[in-house]
Amino acid sequence: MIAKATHKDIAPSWSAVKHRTCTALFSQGCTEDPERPAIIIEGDIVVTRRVLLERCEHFAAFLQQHLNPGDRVAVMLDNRVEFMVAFFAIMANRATAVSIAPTAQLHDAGHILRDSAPVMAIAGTGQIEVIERLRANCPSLKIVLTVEGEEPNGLARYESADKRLALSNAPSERQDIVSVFYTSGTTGAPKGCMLDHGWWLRVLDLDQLLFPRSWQDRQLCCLPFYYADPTIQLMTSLSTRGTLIVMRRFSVSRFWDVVRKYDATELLSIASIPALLLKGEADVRERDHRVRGAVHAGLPQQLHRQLIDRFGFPWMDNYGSTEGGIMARVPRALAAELVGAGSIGVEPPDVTIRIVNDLEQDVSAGESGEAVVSGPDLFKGYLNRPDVTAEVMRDGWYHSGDLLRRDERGLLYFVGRKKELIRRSGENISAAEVEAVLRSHPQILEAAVIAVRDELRGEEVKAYIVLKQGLSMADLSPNDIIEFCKTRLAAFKIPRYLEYRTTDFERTPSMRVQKQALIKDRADLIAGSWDRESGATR
Amino acid sequence: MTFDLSQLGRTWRTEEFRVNTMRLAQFAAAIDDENPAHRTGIIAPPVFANVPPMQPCIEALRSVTSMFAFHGEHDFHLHHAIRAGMHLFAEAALRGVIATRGGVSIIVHSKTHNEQGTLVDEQFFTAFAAGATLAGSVGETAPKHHSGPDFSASRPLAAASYVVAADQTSRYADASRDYADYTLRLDAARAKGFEQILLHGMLTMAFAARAVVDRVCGGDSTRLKRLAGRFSKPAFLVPGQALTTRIWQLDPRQGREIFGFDTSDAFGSVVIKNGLAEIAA
Repeated sequence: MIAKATHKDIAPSWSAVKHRTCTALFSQGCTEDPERPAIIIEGDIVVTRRVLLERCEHFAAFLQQHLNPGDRVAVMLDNRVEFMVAFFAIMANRATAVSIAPTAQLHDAGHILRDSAPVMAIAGTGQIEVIERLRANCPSLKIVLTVEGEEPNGLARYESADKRLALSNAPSERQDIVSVFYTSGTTGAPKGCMLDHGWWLRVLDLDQLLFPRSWQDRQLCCLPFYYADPTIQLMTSLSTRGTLIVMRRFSVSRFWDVVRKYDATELLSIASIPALLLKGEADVRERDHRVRGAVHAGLPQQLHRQLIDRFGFPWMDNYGSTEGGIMARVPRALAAELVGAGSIGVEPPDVTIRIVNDLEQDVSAGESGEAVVSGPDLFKGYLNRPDVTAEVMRDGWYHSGDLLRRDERGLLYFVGRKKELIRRSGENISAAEVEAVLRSHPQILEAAVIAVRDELRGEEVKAYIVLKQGLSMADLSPNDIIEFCKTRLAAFKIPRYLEYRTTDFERTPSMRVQKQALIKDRADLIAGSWDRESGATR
Repeated sequence: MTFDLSQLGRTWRTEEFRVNTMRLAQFAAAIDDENPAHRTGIIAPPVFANVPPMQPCIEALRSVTSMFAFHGEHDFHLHHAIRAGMHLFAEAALRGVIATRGGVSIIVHSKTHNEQGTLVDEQFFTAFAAGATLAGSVGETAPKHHSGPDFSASRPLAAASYVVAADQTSRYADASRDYADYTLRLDAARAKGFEQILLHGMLTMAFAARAVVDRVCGGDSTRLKRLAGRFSKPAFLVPGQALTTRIWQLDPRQGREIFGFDTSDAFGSVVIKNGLAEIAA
């Protein structure tokens, strides 16, 4: 009998977070140790809990004059404290924050504004022009506020010095929609994912149970604030007397200096951050820090051991989404054993993942299928899209679109995105799996795999390759790459086409490769590629 | 005000505390410690030992009472110096709740181990709830650290004075993560009945430890094996005032040199009494 892997050593659900609303959690977290920094932003901007609460309460009093419950407010800001001020002040008024990437332009910001119909927008000086240009096409938008000036007082000019809305008495209700985050999706326009207090509190509770923190802990945020993660990090910091350390944006060259100077003890990492850190020049600073753990979504299996050996702390894989919250994580007790195993762990308490085939039948251990998830406090649907909501939420099960498999111990493994499957001669090939193999080559810096049309086989596999600095095709030929793949991948998964790039890929703010950018404006995706069948460049 | 005595013997634990040079150097800078081993962050100033178990100590105290309690006494037993690179695990147990003249003492015993399970230090933290009453004491007091007959009238062996800077408590708060509001804001201190901002008790103790290490340990803090004292009066953040520690040599015992000390503020108040330092030969 094989012992099942579980999170059995953690405390019961709802033992870490007992608040009924995020507003109450935020208010208490700011009140009980008021002089402790809530947020430190690189560049020595220190905001204590007392100041953060003051700023929120003054701004909430201003919003009270302009918002009704259920109103939406678009927030389009860089990593500035005012993002958090706005977020909690909107929440306290029972309104909904709609998050827009600060780098969004007329097309993507326009879609969100039209879809979410906010009554108010809060934007930074770098974003205000986009908002103003879109205003004419967004009739709901009555008020536009600009964040400018000294942090954290960039909204202060809208406030009255003598008016505060006490967050401890704010009328928030658990079912209020706190936020809408637009998920990129692989097809169609982004959809607004609605999250209520219950979703947030559940994530906060689970996160603290899975990775308990002390008063001496400081989480590092190197992700953009317009994601949900930084706000989760702030709230878990507030409720454990920690401090959130914020980078304006991720940078390898500044990373260890920020970690050390502001004493970060925990990292939250996504996408290519681990690979980029490993590519940084080795330095004593990367070992002389106090980080005791990292949680990463989609840890590169081949880099796992190297990350631990080089930086000196455990990295644990996490599987989550805006819709499903935290759906799986490597148990801390198994972290050492699972180094390099590629597992994303197991479900936390009260979450169930089934792995099903296209007929929605459960597949056997070892087989891959779509992960469908049930648990308390999932997302509340896509804004204005009951059709898509109904498509992904069926009988209480969230259909993730992710392909997972489970081993005999119950450990889960990420295989790829269902919609990023390449269908070649009837075989399903996961782009993520091929990319992982290519990235594991010591001379390859980064790889991205896409499907290209093929008359004979339906689709073929094409890989874009970026070699490490100073290397060229002469150092690693296409044949070398194919030979490398042959010992690691089934023959049908080996890329047919290879294209070398000398520059990095276009990336999302979270540093994921923008595959759409590889395809866009290229009528012929094969031209200029090396073709394995002809052995020549076409 | 009532006291919950049901938690006697309970142990509180905290998460792993990793030590690096920067955090140690920050602490040394916060107490203006010029000792090169401390300033470079290789070895922790002795009072840094209070940082890892601070949370479980406060949690143990708060399990007994929510009322304001002064830091009354502290007794460090330093088995090994804290060094950069260590991974520490701290815990604290409630040892006693004792009725005394003028109030109630709550005694917490902390232990800090390294990742190999070696005991790095133990501490006895006594908090004092002034004016409170308790019908029956439970548990034990901290071990005695009085140095014997009063020595303070005799001529001290050595003395050292260190000046308090305007930003001293702010720096100490950042270095220790003790952000008690009455050490940082005048309005908060006034709300507790004080006319000035208080110095953290441990900051005052850290100044005393500087004097002991500098004057009678030959600058080698790893020789300091025990450091104890009673916070007899609050010390205040008066920028420019000097805190003076006087040190007396007492009879050696168990192979250790024994010193008594006290610390006074610039206005003649003794802020640490019954100081005891035990130093490895």
